[in-house]
Amino acid sequence: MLFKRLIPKIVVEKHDSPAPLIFKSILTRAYEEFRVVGDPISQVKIQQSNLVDEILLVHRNRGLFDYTFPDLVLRTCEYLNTPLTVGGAVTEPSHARILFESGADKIVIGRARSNFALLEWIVSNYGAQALVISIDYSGDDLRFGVHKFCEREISLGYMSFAGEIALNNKSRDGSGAGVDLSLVETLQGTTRAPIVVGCGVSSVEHIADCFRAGCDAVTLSTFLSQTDQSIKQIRSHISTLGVNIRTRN
Amino acid sequence: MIDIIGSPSSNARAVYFAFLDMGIDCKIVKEATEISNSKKIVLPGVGAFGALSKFLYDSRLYEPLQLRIAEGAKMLGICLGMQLLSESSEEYPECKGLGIFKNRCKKFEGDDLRVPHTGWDQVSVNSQHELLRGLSSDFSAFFSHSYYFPVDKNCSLGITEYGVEFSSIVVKDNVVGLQFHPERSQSNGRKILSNFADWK
Repeated sequence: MLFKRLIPKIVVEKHDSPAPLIFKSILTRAYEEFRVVGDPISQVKIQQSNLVDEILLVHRNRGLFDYTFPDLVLRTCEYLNTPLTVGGAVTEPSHARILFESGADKIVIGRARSNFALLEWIVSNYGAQALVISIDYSGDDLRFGVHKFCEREISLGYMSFAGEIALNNKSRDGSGAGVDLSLVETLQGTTRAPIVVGCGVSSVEHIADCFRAGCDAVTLSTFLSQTDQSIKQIRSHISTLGVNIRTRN
Repeated sequence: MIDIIGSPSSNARAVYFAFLDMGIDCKIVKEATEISNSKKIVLPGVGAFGALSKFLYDSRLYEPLQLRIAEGAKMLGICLGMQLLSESSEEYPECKGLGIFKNRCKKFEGDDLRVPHTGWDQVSVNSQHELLRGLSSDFSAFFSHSYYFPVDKNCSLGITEYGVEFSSIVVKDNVVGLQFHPERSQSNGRKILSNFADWK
């Protein structure tokens, strides 16, 4: 039986110090930088030694695709024995290609999710399992109701391409208020793709709630830096709550 | 030396790094002349059956690969690379696989089934093999696929269940196929790759 997944999310951003333009891993609140944590490659190594199911590496980037980011992906992959999903302003096939060639197993498409030419290109070259479509929304986007919001997303037409759908209510990012699961049921009815949720976890109970709602995976970021439990302990705890999750290799 | 077939959409580099990380000699190859003396070949695969089949034809690797296998070279197909060891796939019925196994790959069907089959799942091993040395008879591995290799008593060494039982490991003489990604399956995967390097 397929196991539910826990996915550490490592967000990186370019920083000027100590060396010019070096990637640092950061913690975010509502997708804004909150605190610098350290070196992304060390973070990946630490996470993958901890019995995680996958790693999500995201370049927080509101501008154009950064062609130095694939180099970080490549350097990460030299040590990697865990599936890697990568995101960061991918808007063209060439961006996706260079990330795949650098070792990414899946690519996250967020802003460009209505660019069918891009989605089609990824699916026909790398398969649907390599495409994660991320819906990053805010509480404000839901002001006309969950139903209206989902309707609009479904009408964009990308659901049939997606290998996975990621749902992130960015208003909850770093808040620890629990994950917004209000879109899950509606979207599960329209796509057969697995659903990944994140933003807002601050307890094991929050994670279990996501799995009980039928989600396949949960991404974790701030929580992992604030809990005194190791991922192994978190997994055992979730497993005792009746969730089918790996507790050993 | 292990030769890894580097088709454009494959994750050959991930497999390359995995061997390198364990101190095992390997290189990525793209042309038929490079495999004429290969003793060990890995065919990794990500993407579509048609694209990989076309790559093998266009780069004239198709027959040399079959020849190397017939001459006893050890061959490891990973994920789509395993599916390419079959005759064909529902994914692109007009494209041919290498035909080492006389099967046709099928698509996961079922109303309640989330497709692709993505994530860690259990592999149940029904008999011992050199490549599985050091692994338990029920281990977990990382999968990411929408099509599957049906169970065949003659060659299915490992079986996984996802709506239907399918082959997660197939073996025929010097050829092994893995539906999961050993290069992404942490210590279990590393063991298999290192066993492949030691396979005599």
